[in-house]
Amino acid sequence: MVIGGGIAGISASIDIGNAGYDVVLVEKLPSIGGRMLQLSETFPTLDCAQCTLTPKTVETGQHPHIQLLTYSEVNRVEGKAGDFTVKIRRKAAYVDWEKCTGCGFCQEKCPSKKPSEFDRGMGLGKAIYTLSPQAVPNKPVINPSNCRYFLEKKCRVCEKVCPVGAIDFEQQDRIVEQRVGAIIVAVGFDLIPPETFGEYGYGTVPDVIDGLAFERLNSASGPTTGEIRRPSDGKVPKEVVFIQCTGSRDPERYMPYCSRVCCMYTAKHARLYKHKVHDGQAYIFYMDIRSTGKGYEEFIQQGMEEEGILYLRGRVSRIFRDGEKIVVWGADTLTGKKVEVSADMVILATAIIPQSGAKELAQKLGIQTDEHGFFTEVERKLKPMETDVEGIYLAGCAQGPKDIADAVAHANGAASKVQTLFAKH
Amino acid sequence: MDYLYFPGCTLYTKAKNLDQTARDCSRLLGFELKELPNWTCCGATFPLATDNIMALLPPSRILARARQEGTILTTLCAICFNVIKRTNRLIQNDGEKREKVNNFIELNYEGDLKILHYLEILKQEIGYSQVKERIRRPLTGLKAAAYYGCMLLRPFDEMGFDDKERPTLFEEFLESMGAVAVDFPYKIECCGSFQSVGSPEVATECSYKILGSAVKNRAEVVVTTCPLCTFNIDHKQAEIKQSHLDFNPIPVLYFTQLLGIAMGLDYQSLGFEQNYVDPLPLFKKKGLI
Repeated sequence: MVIGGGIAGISASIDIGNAGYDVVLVEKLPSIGGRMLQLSETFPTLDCAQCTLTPKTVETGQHPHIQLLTYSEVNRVEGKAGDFTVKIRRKAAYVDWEKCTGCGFCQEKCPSKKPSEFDRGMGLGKAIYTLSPQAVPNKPVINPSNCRYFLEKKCRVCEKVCPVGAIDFEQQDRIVEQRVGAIIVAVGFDLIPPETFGEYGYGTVPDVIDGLAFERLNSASGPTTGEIRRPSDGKVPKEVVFIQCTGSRDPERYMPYCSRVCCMYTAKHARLYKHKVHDGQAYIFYMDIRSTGKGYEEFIQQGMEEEGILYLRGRVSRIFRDGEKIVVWGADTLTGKKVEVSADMVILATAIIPQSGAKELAQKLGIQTDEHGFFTEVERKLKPMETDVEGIYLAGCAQGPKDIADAVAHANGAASKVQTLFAKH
Repeated sequence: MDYLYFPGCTLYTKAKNLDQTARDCSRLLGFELKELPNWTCCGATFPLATDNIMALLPPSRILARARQEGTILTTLCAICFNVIKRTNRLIQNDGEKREKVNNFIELNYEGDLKILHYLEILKQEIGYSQVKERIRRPLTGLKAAAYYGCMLLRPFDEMGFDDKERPTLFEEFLESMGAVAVDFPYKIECCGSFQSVGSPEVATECSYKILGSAVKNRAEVVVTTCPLCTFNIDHKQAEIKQSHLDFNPIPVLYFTQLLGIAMGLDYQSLGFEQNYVDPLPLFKKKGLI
């Protein structure tokens, strides 16, 4: 069983499936793809995340050895390596997925529009939805907290338009049982809520957004179909400030560790911005630049030298609105001067934190988490995928912050551990 | 219930109007500020050097004596509050410092007083809903900017006054009197503090920015808690006017003076003669007197 259908979980599942073993892939959201599905382009190649990911998700969906249990969560785990019994809660989708053909009429006609979580609150989502047009599986779910029928007991438009009668408002959660030989934990990460930083004005200044929201703005499938327009008035921002280490490397107040991806994705954001807004200026406040991967340093240098991105070494102390502008107060510690930037938009590179349910899941599995809530490997250097419990392995950001390449490598490693275990028995 | 009260030096001199109005308002709210007997200066700064025990002695002595009288100590001046609260916390948590300090002052104090600013007394002990009930002249439509300054809030971990970056306690107080609380970005920025002695132009510049930002956000009055902030942003308005021709002075009042107006106290008794701008025309315009 693989828990988590992000790029790590998908990579591990495909590896194990290709080796001829059956895989149960459990994902809590309605479809697989994870965080990567929200990204626009990826560093250092600037190729489209969806274009690299979609073949993988499709392969997973069609793989003869992979059984997808999406919109599901692990309830209980018993047993030992080679023979785990797992109870999985399949959440009520209020749609009979056996009947559903994925035609999408229901989503088109659904009258309830609410800010979409997938688009970081910037676009509108329907009460009956799939996460993306390329969702795997391409089956919608109804969110009862947005649905007019669940809230007001009227509407049922989706039921009327569904050509195959798949809508089922009476559906209940159900528990299914699976017996598996090994478990890979690939539940991924979350981001520190940007409201945490009162000084940055997130929530009161609408054009202060987080990095994931900027990914959505850049995405062709996002709320602006890929144009850089600020949320407050839809104008194209001409001066954009990026703030790295928002909540990372701040042992006194927030997370002491480095989130590892922000230097690179901020450089990527600034470059993507320059590609779309040629006369725009991007400023990046940073502490250090950590670009240790293959081709990463070159990527940063290109941004600085060829695309005129201004790097300011220092922290930002306050952000507030001044008419249509956003005032950013910071320090440039290289010149020792105070800096004030009058910006149109601010992007916070918020810290990676563990998934909120990580500790609970660790308890169910009998494995450890560290003081932050990341799953703990049994040995830092030589056993990075193994846990205290034989037969349970870690993959991707569940263990700690990683970029895509590292998460995939980690997942491939975990998959090979599973195959070794199975080959022995 | 009565509250032990440490006024501090400034409240007997430059900030008499803060002291007097707080005492008068307390009575109307049903409690008495019980002044500590034989109090001394708080020391005026919390020592930044960890081995500067000497600077801890005056506030420690105040605390030790206050503990003999009661369990809650309140102050009005933000600097006294800062020094006393931080010293109290240090004595509470640092056994070695506690022992040294107690040996010096020849008293035994464990750090078990609760230190509350007068605003905290109003919010936590009395309750803003109670304050609201005693309002005789609601400040309806009066756009007031709450200026916190630094000392109530910083250092965040030690003061624990309110949300560290976006406090609202002061604004809630203004709203309980019926005023419209104006949010402005400079509300927790420094007033220039003691720079007004050595480099007065630095403090003047800070004050100009603070008042300018409040006015830009449509404030009609700026409300303070701290005598030093008030000295910088209120009493320096004449100097600001000299260096900034576009500047128009604005009434800067202590929160207790505004409370006095709202509770129906006599205008004459609120010590407005100590404020740089007479708020009378504003209050008349708003129909408050």
